[in-house]
Amino acid sequence: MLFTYHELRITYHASRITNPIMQPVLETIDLRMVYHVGKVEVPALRGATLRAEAGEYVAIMGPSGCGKSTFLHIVGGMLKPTSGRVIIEGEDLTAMTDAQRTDLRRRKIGFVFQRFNLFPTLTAEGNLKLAERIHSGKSSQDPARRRDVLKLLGLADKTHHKPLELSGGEQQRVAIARAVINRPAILLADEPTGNLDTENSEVVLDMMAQLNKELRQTIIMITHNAEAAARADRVIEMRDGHVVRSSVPLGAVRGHS
Amino acid sequence: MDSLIAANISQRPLRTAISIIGVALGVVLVTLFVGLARGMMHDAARRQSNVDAEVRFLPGGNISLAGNPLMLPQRYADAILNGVQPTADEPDIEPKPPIPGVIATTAVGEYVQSSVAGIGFEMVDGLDYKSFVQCTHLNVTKGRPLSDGETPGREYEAIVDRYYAESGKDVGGNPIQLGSRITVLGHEFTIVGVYEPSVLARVKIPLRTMQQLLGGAENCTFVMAKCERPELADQVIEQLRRYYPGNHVIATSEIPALYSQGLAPVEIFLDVVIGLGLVISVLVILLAMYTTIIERTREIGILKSLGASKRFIVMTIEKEAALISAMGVLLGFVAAIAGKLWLEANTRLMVDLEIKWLVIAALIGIFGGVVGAIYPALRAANLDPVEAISYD
Repeated sequence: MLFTYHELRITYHASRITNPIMQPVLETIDLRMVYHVGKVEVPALRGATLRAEAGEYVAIMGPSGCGKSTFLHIVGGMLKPTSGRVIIEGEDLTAMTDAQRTDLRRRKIGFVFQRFNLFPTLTAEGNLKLAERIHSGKSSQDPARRRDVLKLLGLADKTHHKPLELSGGEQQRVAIARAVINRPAILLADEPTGNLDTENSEVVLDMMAQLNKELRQTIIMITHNAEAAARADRVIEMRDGHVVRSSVPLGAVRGHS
Repeated sequence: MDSLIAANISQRPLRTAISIIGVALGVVLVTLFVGLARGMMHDAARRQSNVDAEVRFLPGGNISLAGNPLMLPQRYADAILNGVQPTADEPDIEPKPPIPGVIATTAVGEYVQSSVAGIGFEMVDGLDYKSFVQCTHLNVTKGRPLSDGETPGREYEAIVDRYYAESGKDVGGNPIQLGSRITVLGHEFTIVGVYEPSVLARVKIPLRTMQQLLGGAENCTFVMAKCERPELADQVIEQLRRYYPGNHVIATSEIPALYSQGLAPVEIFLDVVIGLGLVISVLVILLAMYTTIIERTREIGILKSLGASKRFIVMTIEKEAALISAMGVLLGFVAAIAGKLWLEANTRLMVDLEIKWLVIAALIGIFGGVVGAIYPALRAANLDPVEAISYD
């Protein structure tokens, strides 16, 4: 059964005490994406609509090929949708040029990937500094902020290690640190525990939850892992390019009650 | 390591080294070849003008270093100094007075041969020693003067300047000393003296012997005339042009400029070398950065996911190329200096590493690198971020 945009909002508001007149940090409206493979049109999104408030932790689940990653890439400004709108903190991403989308991504988006995607030749701190430099355009940055983020993610003693000198869990925490170092409006995580064992997955998920709680970091996370999704405030299910369900995990209900 | 550019450069040391060497090769081409051409030209021009005789008298037609070396009748030397009068053998000859102000003349044969050292060319003078020393301040410091070439058993004698004596090798590859044998005009000559300062060619043999070997009997390449006072040179030149029209008469002081004109084809060659140096730098960096971009496609995707603009990506790649080029330029300078030292120690070639040409070579190396990186940089900047970050 498909949820309408109105129904989604009701479901969402029921799960969380928010200001009804507050502007959402993210809003996607009837998002459609069609890939062209030769002469064949392959629809990836068929009208995905979603709204996320500031500080919300949203997990997106669904089978492979349902459009989750496409959705995330569009929200992150890496892809332009065929139609529909994406509004991030009042800025319409879909009305922007490629350069403007890149600029918005620089200012407001942080990405975490399944494969960590750290620069292998740079240290943990070097990876963060690079993100800071891209964000600020300056070589002089905020070392205190960097220290705080690394400390929060349990990496205070790993700053001078290169990715290959770190465990998978540590690498993913560095990737998270890099994603949040510039205080993005939204942290987009694509299967952040997909390459980790159970223990490291737990640590990474704990850290993300901590970021969400302590820094009120808005997180949109794609996952196949139901336990990971259970940490979120809300779980969105996607199928065949549609958002088909929005629910509040039991843990989140307990947490907010 | 916190710098992406430095990290990228150190990540692939072999490729970086090859790129640096490639740029250095272009720099060496420019600095060493230009330095060699200019060094040889300056050295030869300096030695050509390092004579006391203020005036040089040459045969008519084009003045060329590569022409027949013995084209001017040797008797002009005597005619300029003593005048010409009809004789029983030549009763119809037009009488000409001695050129006023000329106090000495000498006929010189000049021949260019492949260097005995095997690299480049060297000049050989054929001269009449007695009249030659009256027109120059040549002084034999070791051994004895050159013979007249007519004394039996002394036809194949040579004198060399101090530089040649110190840097040259004899036919057996041994250092030069008195009595050493060197090859001149395809014949072995015995070194009988060392002279100073360097005047004209470094190796001098009797003019008579040169005439016999080249088949230019009684001919020379040019005649030098020494004036009573240097300020009389213009007057002497005017008189020579009046009495001996159809020949070239030039002031010795004009010779360096004449050399530059005579070596115009060398300038074209140098332009080709400079162009070649630039092309090498461009191609080396283009290939290196292009393969780098393909290899780092995923990393470019990461940069894009972090919000790096096209300009940031282009500048990152351009800075890396410029840094590699700068290192190539430095290596090129070191190699050029080493090449200069080696050439000057093992051959009689002179290399002038002028600041101007070092700067030009540096600019060519860095400009070539930056231009070579433009296409890979633009290609990287225009990669699709999703495809790039998914690249394996």
